[in-house]
Amino acid sequence: MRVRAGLGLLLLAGCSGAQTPLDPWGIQADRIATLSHVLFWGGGAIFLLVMAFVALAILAPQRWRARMGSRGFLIGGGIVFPVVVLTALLGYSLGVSRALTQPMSDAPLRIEIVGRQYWWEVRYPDLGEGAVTANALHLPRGREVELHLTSGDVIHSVWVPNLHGKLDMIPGRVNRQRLRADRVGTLRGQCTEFCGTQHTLMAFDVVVQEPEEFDAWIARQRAPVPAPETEEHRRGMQVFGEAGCGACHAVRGTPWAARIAPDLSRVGSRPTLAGGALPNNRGNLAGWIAAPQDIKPGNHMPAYARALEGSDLIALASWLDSLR
Amino acid sequence: MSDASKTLPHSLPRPPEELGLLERAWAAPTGFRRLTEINNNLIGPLFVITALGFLLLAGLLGVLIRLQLAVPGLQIIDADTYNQVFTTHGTIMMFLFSVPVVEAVGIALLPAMLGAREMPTPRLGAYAYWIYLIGGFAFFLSLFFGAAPDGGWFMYPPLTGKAHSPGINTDMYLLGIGFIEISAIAGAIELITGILRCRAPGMTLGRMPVFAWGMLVFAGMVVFAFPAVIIASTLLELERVFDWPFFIPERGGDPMLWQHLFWFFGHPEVYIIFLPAAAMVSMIVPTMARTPLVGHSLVILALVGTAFLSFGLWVHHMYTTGIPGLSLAFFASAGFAVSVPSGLQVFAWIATMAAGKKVRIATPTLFILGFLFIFSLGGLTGVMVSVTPFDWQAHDTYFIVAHLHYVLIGGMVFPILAALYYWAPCIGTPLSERMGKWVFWLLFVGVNVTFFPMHISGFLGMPRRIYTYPAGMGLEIWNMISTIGALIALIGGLLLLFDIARSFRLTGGEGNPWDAGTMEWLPNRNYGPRSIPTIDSRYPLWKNPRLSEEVEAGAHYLPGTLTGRREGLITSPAEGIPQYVAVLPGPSWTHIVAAIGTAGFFLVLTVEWVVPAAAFGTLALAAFLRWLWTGTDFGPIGEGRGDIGGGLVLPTYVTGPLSTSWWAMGALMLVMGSAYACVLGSYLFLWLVNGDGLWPPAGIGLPLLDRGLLALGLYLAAGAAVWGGGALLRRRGSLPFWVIPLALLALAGGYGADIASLWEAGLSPSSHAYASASYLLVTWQGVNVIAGGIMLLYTQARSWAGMLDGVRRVTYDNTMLFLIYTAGQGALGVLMQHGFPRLL
Amino acid sequence: MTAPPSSVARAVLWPSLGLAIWALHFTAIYALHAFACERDYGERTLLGLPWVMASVAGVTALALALLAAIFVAIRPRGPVLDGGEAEPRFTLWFGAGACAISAFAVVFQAMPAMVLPTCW
Repeated sequence: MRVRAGLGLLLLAGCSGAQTPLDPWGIQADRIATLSHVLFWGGGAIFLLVMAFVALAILAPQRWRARMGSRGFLIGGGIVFPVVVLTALLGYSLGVSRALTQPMSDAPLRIEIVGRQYWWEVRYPDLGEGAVTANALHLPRGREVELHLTSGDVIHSVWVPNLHGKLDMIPGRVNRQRLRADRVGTLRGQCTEFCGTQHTLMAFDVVVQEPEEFDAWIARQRAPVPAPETEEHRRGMQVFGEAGCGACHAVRGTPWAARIAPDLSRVGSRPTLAGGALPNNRGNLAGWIAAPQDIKPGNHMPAYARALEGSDLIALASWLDSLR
Repeated sequence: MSDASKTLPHSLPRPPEELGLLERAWAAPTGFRRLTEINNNLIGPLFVITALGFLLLAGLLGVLIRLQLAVPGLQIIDADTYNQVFTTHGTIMMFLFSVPVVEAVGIALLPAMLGAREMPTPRLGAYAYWIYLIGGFAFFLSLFFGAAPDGGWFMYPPLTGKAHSPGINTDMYLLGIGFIEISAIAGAIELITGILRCRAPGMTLGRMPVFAWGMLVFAGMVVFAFPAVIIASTLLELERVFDWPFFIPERGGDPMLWQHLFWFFGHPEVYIIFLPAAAMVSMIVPTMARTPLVGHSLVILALVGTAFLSFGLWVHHMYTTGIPGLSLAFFASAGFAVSVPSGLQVFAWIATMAAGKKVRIATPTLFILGFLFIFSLGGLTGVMVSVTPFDWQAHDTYFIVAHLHYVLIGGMVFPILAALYYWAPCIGTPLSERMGKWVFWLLFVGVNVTFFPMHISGFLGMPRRIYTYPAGMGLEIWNMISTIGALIALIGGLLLLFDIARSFRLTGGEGNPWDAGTMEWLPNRNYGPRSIPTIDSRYPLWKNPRLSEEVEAGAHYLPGTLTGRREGLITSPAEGIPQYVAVLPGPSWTHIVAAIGTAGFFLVLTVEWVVPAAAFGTLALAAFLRWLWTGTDFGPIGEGRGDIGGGLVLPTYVTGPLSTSWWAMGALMLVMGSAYACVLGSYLFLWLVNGDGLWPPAGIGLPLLDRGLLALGLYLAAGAAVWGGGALLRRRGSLPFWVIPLALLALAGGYGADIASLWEAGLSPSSHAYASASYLLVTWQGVNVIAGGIMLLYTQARSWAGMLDGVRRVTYDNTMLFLIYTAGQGALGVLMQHGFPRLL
Repeated sequence: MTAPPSSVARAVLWPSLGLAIWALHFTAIYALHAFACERDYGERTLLGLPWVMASVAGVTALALALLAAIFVAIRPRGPVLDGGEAEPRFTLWFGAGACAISAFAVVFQAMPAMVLPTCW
């Protein structure tokens, strides 16, 4: 299996990456990657065979052509061959599907993800009050999780190809998917069901951590944010309230607990901002707050460039950036 | 009649005035009035050119998409415009190019190929063309007003519901494209009737050319698949305008209902597009290989088998929606099964090429070879994505974009181009062989360079329907290559259009340069072949090399016109035994005015101008009535019979199951039945997803049973009245005065009771999907009731005008069939409405 | 000269009958399974087997029996793989061929129910 994966990798240069099915980080993606290689190689071989027959039918010596022009060739190639191959494929694919249905544990970690235009709400209901974040999915390495997916508005879809196939988020339903990440690091996931103007910029980070680090991260998520320590941060938190950010965004340990927009409790520690649209740093935070419609036109956050003084904007971004 | 030395039906030479009368009956109007012509030899080519026009427009949109995606971060067009562009690209390609172009080739070639003069309902075919032209063009223009649909070509709610798409963009799709589906359905009804009843004598089903089989399955599939998307569009439009929550989960609806309805149409749709093209290949390969198709019967069986099995694949477009895996596996298995007949066809073509002496390599052959390459690759990726776990990775990525373009361009566009180069000399002047080779190579290279890298970019993580992509994921090189390929293909496409504009003129044909064996290569004029031969072979021109001369001299059946009008010879469906001579209508303005009225009605409704819509609707109705009055049911003309040759005397007017209009009505009943099955299916689906014991949900009542039973009784009475009236008409020779008023009253009363059973029970359609579904049954019945009422009034008018009696009954029979269907549908609806929730 | 009334049946019925049975089988197994999972029949059994597996097996056996019966009844004499040109042989051959294709597809689509868990 490793050899085949290696050959496949040779064929497609540079296909290890943060968002590709060809670089599996988990057992499900690994099974599908193997299946993919079988299908690529098998399909490729059949294609070459059929093209060879086409060429022979026109160019080969008359003796060969006469044999190919017979009813026997038609039955052999057009009925027997496809029936045999497709029966084998039926058996194989049922086997792969069956393997994918086998649960790996009795008590997977439940993770609820709600898709909204154009961000992701992520909750860990089994891990206590306040285990909530947005636009980033943290997973403990080596432990089976069960994603519970639904939508708050239109149909979205969660796709982390390095871990598993995609699954849609449909309002009114909860779709479940079990997966297990076996490698530590950062991956990328993206929305793969057209969901409106900014479907293009609806992605999220997947951070796989060692179990101890994951537990520590959960604990920090649940804890109230520390009180601001610098003058700038105090001013920033004040601006957050005055500008009305709390009407949509929640920050743990403050009176703001709205669920309309991404939870910002530890926003400073996320790899990206705005659904994978921007790298996370103070400058981008400020730029996003000032002009979200320039970066991601059509998303639901209003622009604050005119409402905020430059210094207030910087203070606000600075405070948010400090929440880690 | 297989011996060429047997005597022919007519002695030669023919009397000189015979040809003159024939030419006069089929003469095309001149000048501006040329527009009123309905002859398939004009409508077919017009249809093809219009479809190629839409190919160009949608192709340019595709090039625009590729330009934007050439490098990451480009904003040639903003996100909203981009979403309209890719939606319109897909919508135009699927609805305004792919289906019309194969239908167009059918209309242009089939009558001649089957040895017929014309299609059986030529005004209907012309009407289908005009609504397509007007509606399609208006739809394309919406892009320039920012009003084009922007939800992707499959328009999933809730994104396309009123809440998330408040503008008219979605309505432009639902209404603007919705009515163009009428064009395809009208074409399908005509094709079924024509292919089964309008063939040359002796052309049994086993001798019928493979392309005719391809168009027959096309038409059958349209009849069963298109109503699903019409119902889906109706449901979404009702939700958007009247707030009937079919797809809104908070009120009992389910977005999955749309997906099931849409893909039940959507998957057969791609086979609707592919199978006629494959059938064209089955016509061209034997000619180029100079030998009959190997496995002819098996190829026909494969076409029909694929057509049926393709209806069992729709959920493989929904593999990622969370439907239980076992259900998905049913569809995956059916998908594997359907690959066998497709594989058979490929090997039949290979075997045929091998069986011939030496395959002639001309431009059509090149396009066939290109088709084999591109379609085989696309078909194999299709089998791959049929495997559910693989599709969980590939779905909604550029891998699927690659797959769909390979199968559609390979499986349909290349055969169509082969067909253009092959059949151009059959209906006009040939295209340029030299330029054709350039067109081929540019397109072949361009298509592969554009779409092959998309397999790779898809598997490197690039989703569909995005207006840009991040740098650093390894996608840049593959997207750049794709864009370059698109430009190469664009040049090829433009060269093709240049060649057509420069080389092609509609002349009626330049002989048989490929030395083909099938009858469309006989000399053809406005009247088709001069006389209609008896067939005893699959390749009549190879079997009898003198057939062209004999037919042209008028030695075979019907070398003139029995009634002085346009006529067609009607034969039995399986054996091809001549049964009667049908009188066909000629040119008129009515179908054009009806097309303007129909198009105007739907397009104006998208912007909710109700009064202008009513005006257009009235115009359309008036035109339809005049069309029917002047162009149908001519009754027996003169003696009502005539000698078509060889002593064979046939009637020129028949009624009952022998008549082609009975068959057309039958096809229409299948369409309506298929639509109603989708309505019932939607009702049952919503019941199923609403959970045990929640149908109706708490607080909403059941329809009133007494009103329902009254409706049932009155519907059945209306059906009985027309049926009884028909028997009386046959026996007494005239229609009793009370039949139609009675039927009208019963129909109206039944419908009133049907509505009252819901209304007086206090059900409000926007309260819950249960109520919406119940009102849907009644609303859809209303379409039939109104149409039926109009037909009854029209029939009464015919009777008063003395144009309806015991012999001249086709109008009455059609109305009777429709009313019986309407009564049956109404009765079924009542049983469902009232019985189902109570029996749960 | 009018054609015998059976012409319509031959032209339309025989060619479609086998494939219509396929369509009914497909509808039945899909509907049975959808109903079972929406109404929590996942754990129920029928004759000792999981409910869906047993009902699919039953419907499949019925469909295959019908297809076999029709095939045997209408299959004409002559070459097995060529329908020929003349009537009534062609439509009867075609109808029998359609039964064969349908049987193949019926078996294929029933297989998953014998292998995969019911409502996963």
